[in-house]
Amino acid sequence: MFKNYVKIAWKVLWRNKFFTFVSLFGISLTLMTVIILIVLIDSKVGNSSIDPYRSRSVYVDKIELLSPDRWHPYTPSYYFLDKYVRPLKTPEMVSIHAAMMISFFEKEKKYTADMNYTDGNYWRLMNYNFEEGNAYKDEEVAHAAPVVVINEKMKRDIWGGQSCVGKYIEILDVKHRIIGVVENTSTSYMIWLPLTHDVRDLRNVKYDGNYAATLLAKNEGDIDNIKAELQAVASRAEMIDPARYSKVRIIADTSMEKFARSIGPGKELVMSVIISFMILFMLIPAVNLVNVNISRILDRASEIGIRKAFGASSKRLILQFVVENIMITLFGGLISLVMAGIMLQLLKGMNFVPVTANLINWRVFLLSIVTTLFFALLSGVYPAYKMSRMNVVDALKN
Amino acid sequence: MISLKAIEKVYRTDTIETVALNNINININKGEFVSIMGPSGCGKSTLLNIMGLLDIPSRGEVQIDGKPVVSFKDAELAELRNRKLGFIFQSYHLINDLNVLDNTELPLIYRKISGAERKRRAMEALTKVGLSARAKHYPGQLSGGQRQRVAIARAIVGQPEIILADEPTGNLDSVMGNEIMKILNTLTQDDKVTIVMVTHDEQIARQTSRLIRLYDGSLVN
Ligand SMILES: Nc1ncnc2c1ncn2[C@@H]1O[C@H](COP(=O)(O)OP(=O)(O)OP(=O)(O)O)[C@@H](O)[C@H]1O
Ligand SMILES: [Mg+2]
Repeated sequence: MFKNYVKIAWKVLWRNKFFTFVSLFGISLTLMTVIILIVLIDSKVGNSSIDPYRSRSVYVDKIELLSPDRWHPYTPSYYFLDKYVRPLKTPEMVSIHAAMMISFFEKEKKYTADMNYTDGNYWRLMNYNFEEGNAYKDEEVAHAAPVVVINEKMKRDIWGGQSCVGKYIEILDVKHRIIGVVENTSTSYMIWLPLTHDVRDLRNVKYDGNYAATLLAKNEGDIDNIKAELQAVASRAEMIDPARYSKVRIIADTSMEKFARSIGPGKELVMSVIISFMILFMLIPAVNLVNVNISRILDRASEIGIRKAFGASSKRLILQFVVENIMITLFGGLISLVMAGIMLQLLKGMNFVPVTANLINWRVFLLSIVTTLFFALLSGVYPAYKMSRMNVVDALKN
Repeated sequence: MISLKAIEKVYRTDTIETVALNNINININKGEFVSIMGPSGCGKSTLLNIMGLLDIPSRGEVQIDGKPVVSFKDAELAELRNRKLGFIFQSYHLINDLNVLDNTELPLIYRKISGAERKRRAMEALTKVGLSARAKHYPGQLSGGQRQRVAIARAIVGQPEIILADEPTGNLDSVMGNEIMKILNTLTQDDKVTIVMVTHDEQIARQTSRLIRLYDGSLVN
């Protein structure tokens, strides 16, 4: 029976090429956009092979200082994080790091790169694939060893892809020995240095600076305890210039909260806006498909009348039309996955999306399937119900 | 088999009320070949549709084998139409998206029959109407007479007890009309199928066992 529905659906879709094309176009475009959105959000908040502990991480990259009239937002300094955040008891691990842009000359050419000052824990939290060499250890950080990790893109563009480990590169007037090359995770040049080379900020005794900390919780349930300990520590912190700022507050976010904050106000609000946007976005073409489907009732009225006259029950007819709609929608879903793949490649090229963002990811895949089926039912059930309720004689008159 | 008791059918629109059928009492017995005649608009199609459970009367009762039809649920009605009845329409009503074979096997799709068996029976029915060679054609590629023969094959493929035909020869020339009549006659004589047929043609009506005349929604004796 089911095989029959599929066969008939296939024939009908194939013979009504124009309708099929229009429907597929709308469905694919919609689903593609939704899938890309899902991938984008997932790449910001979900665990990935390179950043495997996101769901257990708490990020501290903002503090607020209270002046007599209001709270002022700042990026924390190394001094502050080292003194108050690193010694916390609750986290399993704390990593402190900073990111900035630098320029350097190599072979008489100027390059601009994303540079990260990190501690040794950074490499325990992240799981970069090393093409050659390896990362620096705690000891090398402690001694400010002149070493550096670069990415594949630098190796390819500056040294033509030849092995780089052991070569030297001058960064901020210091010659660093390359000890590792990691696979690309973005389209820019990337450099990692032991943070002890950051002579300017490291010894500054003040609370505002340009560092961030990543705190790894023992498990997801422990995240709230970490946040509580952070607040306790902040409330006991000794203020450096009490006349100016009387209190400090630590902003601690999970990856989801961080993402939400990067777009707007509260996490709940942002999530509900995103979800409503997605539903609304699907609703428009779904309503359109409902419309197309209903107007198709007229074209197919005689078929419905005939089927009823020869023994199709309303239930059977509903099933038939829903199967048809699921088929076309799943097919559209397939096309949209391909389109999303191409689109992602383009977006990665323009650096809108991290190179690590991945379509082939069970979370994304599952969500896409659910979205597709939701769309199929959204646009198929009502017209099917309407079709099945048609009076046979009226249907045959068409 | 089918009995109509005090059937009335009224169509209401905003402005007018049409009485399409008025106090109709008919019994159709097993094995009969009944023809229905009457001027255009007198209610012949309406009557046939009510007999075939495609339409419901405004008043009165339709019984199938002694059971009132109103007591059946949607699924039971579908089953009755599927097993007991076979329709032939004046304008063929084939599904254009399906080829001749798929059109013919339609009633069998709604039964638990394997695909191979459906194909076999559909081919058999097509052979009876002399169209087995056109099985893979689409309705759009056939002449009117051929389409009507496909419609007949579809009506007989499920071996229903009753065939209801609304002007099966109405759109055909007399040669083709006689062909169709030959097939219907064979069905009543060899297979003991009950047939109720609407026709405009006295010549054709004379070949049947009983004639019902309708005028302005009422039976005429
Ligand atoms: N859906 C409808 N709404 C309103 N009036 C209708 C409807 N269907 C049929 N009628 C009216 O009912 C009457 C009977 O129609 P019916 O189709 O049964 O006639 P008929 O005898 O089959 O005619 P013909 O020989 O032309 O096919 C006609 O007057 C017609 O206008
Ligand atoms: Mg008629």
